[in-house]
Amino acid sequence: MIQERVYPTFLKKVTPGPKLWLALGLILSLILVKNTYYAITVMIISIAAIIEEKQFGLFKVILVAMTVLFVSMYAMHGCIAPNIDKVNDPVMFSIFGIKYYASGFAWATKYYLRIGPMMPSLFVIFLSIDMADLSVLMCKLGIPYNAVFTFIDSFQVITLLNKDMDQIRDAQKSRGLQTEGSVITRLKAFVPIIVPVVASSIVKVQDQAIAMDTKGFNAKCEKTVYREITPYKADIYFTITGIALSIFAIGYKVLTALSVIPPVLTNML
Amino acid sequence: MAMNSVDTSKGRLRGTYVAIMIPIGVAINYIGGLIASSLGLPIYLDSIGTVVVAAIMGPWVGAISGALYNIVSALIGGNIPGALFAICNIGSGLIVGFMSRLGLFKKWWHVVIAACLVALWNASTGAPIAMVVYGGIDGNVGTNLMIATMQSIGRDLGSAAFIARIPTNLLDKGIACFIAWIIMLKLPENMKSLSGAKKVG
Repeated sequence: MIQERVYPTFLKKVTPGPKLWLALGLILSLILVKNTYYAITVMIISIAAIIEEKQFGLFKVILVAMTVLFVSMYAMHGCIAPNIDKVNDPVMFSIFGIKYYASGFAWATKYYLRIGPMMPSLFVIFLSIDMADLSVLMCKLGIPYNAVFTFIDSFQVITLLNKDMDQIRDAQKSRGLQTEGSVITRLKAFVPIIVPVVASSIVKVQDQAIAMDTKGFNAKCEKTVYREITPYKADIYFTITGIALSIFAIGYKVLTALSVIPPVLTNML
Repeated sequence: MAMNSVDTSKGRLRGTYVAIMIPIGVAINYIGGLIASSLGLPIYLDSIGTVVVAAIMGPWVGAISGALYNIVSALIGGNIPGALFAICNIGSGLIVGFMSRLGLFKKWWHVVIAACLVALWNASTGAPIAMVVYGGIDGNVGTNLMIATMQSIGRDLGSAAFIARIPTNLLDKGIACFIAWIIMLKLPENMKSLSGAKKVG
């Protein structure tokens, strides 16, 4: 009997194909349209979706990365962006003698609002994708089985090695490894953690190769898939939204580049 | 036939090893980056897997592993433009893979040369990519501080981004090449033929 799959949240019920269309639409619209209000709206909706999906714990890592990127970009571009004219541009404020210009912040906004909204939106989309369903979709699209396996296995092995890393780090700490202190101390702590992780993963390769070969991994016959993707009622809306956003973004970019229409929606540099 | 005596350098069995090693390279890159950020290190340490896989399996498998890492990392982190850094990883895989295939990854000074070449490649390609993706300033504190220092002495953002990446990449890729070399020294005999290097004797 094939085990029944349970998708507890709304986004998890949506099948991978429509979610990939929505991801494509979001990527193209954020990169090509360059509208501040749209970018901020996408960011807010994505964070709300992450909270709704109860994934805020995992999202904290992405949030830290977003915050570090925000601080780095604005703190540095605000004073040293290439578009700053230090003679004519007005100074917004000064910290410890370092002057910050509005044009520098505009430069930082151009880059941050391209990546910042993408991070939570794609995080929640890809986190809600079932890898087994994704592999079925990729096989049905005609992608070779070996390539599908390699791609999907990457996500699985990351989880396994993460657990190994936690165990090895705890074991090394209990043996006296110092992981806090100066940069040199922390750098010295890196090798005793990473080498056992790498070595243990390489040692397992031979056994894994035997196991896969005995299960017919490289058999020349066509592979069959027993798993069926169950469509969900919201799939059509995700697909239409993704395709519409993609067509709109590409069309807007082409038409504004050819000066057929003015760039009315673009309010970033 | 014992597994240790099977020639794994070609045929179906090599295909199986390729399918296993590429995800391992991706995962090692990802974990290396995680460890570096959890230790608060000012370097990336996210190309160890690429170098290890390239040294064991050869240049093209290493390059694919490196590129796939950047794609997977971009999907997980949501930073799609960051996938462009795959160009850096592809070059790292090709350089180390070809050196390994030519038998130039056995002595300590081979590792030093490989680290220098890989660091130079990464600095020269990473800087323009960072300009396109982030406007020159990315989330790495060490690199950003050096860029700010370079600019304070009169360098423009582009050349500052390149020069700042040389020392960070030398350290970063030096560690990666060193770890790959240690792994290669301890590898079982039947796995040493996977890179396609000519057997001596």
